[in-house]
Amino acid sequence: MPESREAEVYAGIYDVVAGNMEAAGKQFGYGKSTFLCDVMSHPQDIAVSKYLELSNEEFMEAMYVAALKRLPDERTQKFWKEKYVLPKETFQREVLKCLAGSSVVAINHIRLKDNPYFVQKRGLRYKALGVLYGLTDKSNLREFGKKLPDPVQQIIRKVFL
Amino acid sequence: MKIYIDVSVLTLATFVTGIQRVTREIIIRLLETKKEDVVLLHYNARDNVYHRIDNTMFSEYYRHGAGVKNRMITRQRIELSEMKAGSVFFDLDAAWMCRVKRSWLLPILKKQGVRIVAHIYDIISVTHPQYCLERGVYNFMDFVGAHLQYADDIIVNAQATVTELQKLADRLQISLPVCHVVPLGADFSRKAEVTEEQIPAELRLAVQLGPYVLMVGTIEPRKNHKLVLEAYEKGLKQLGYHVIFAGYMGWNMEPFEEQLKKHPDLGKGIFHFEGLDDKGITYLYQNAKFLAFCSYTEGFGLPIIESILRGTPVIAADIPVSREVGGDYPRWFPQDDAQALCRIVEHYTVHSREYDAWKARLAEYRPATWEDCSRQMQEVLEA
Repeated sequence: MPESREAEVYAGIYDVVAGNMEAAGKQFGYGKSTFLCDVMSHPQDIAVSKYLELSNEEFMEAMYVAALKRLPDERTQKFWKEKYVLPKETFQREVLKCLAGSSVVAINHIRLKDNPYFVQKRGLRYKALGVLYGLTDKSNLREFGKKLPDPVQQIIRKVFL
Repeated sequence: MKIYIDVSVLTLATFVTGIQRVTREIIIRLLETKKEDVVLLHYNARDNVYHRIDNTMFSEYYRHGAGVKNRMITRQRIELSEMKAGSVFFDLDAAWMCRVKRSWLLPILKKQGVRIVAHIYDIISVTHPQYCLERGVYNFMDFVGAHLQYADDIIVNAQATVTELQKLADRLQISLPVCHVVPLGADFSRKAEVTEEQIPAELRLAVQLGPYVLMVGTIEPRKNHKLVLEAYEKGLKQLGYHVIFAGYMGWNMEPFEEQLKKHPDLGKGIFHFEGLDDKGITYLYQNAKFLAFCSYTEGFGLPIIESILRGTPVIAADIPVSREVGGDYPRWFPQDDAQALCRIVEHYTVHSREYDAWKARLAEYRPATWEDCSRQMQEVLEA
């Protein structure tokens, strides 16, 4: 996690938002460590080393947000929750393996850097999926997508965005 | 002087509303006066590079609806290293939704000597995050944090936003960049009278039923639509009014939607219209007795201006930004006080001459135009 003055400012903003949310009787869904690992990050490169000190729960959330740009859904959370008891290294390796194989990561050419566990494969599947990026970058296709039934839209979002 | 503007969010948007509308209006005018200097950018997340947008095609598309949007994105790559000292990076669009985090981008530009100017519409995501989509709040924290630290100038649309930014900067113990208040243009609100033949029958029937209180805008928690429903039950109905909500049902409004659907007066005294075009909205404004504007918080409060311009008196919840935008044209009620709203309606129903005088005075109102808005923004860019 960055420990600069800049990071202090982002931490301060997080505290203000989380405080205002709490004052309104709600809880902010994003953890502070998720935000602080994510700020100042390169659009495509995720420096995994920044995340290694996090607890298993924090690591899972922070990595999902960094790689997929969204919080893990309920089912995903439930899946990983059962594995929080695993040793840190085993848990982190599993999460990273899962994310490295995700279509969103491939389509958006996201790279897991400084990864102490394995070298991310960027083989044929990664490249082939990468070609699909063109489908996400067209407003007319997005307009078409919005006309599809909700369940189909949800699948599309999960796969592509 | 090159002016770089990242319009990735606008070019991917499936419909133009709110911030996209502002971005479009400003850029169209910037291109008229500074066409050679403006470099419009579209971020390509696959290659992590900006592609230049063809200025002429942009103008053609957004001004006249001509051409195909995707074709305006050229193959010309604009590397960050090309942005040199003396140029300006103008963050005008809803850039917190873009993949390029400003916390990453702005330090790079700053190091290269690029002047950074941000247009911050509001900081509702920070001050009232409970009314916003969580993912948007998350992205906005990065955006506003980066601009508070790296922007040379910040453009806002209301003094109330400067006040909120100052409070945030104080809390973070940083100095606030120079802020410029540039009110948004509202001349798209000057619509010609709409005749009944141009309007769908269901809308006509709702309007012809009698006097009504109108609410315009996406139905979302911070707009406080439930207050008007409460006012309807507590007094408006007895006064002979019905209420019309015009706007899409937004996120997190399931309880209100349920309440509407189950209401025995739905379709009789309470109406909800979604997806109306400009003509439909104008028709509703020009026939409404009052516009109710009950928001807990706002960036600008455009419906207040639109309503006044169409000669419809506004009854608004008393919040600083609405006061700033509406001046002394609306009548104010304390936030969340449905009875107070009813009392104002009752007063002006009983005292019809006062109502007529109020309505007549609205003709004096002169809002800022998009020309004014664009010119003032250009002055900031050139300062």
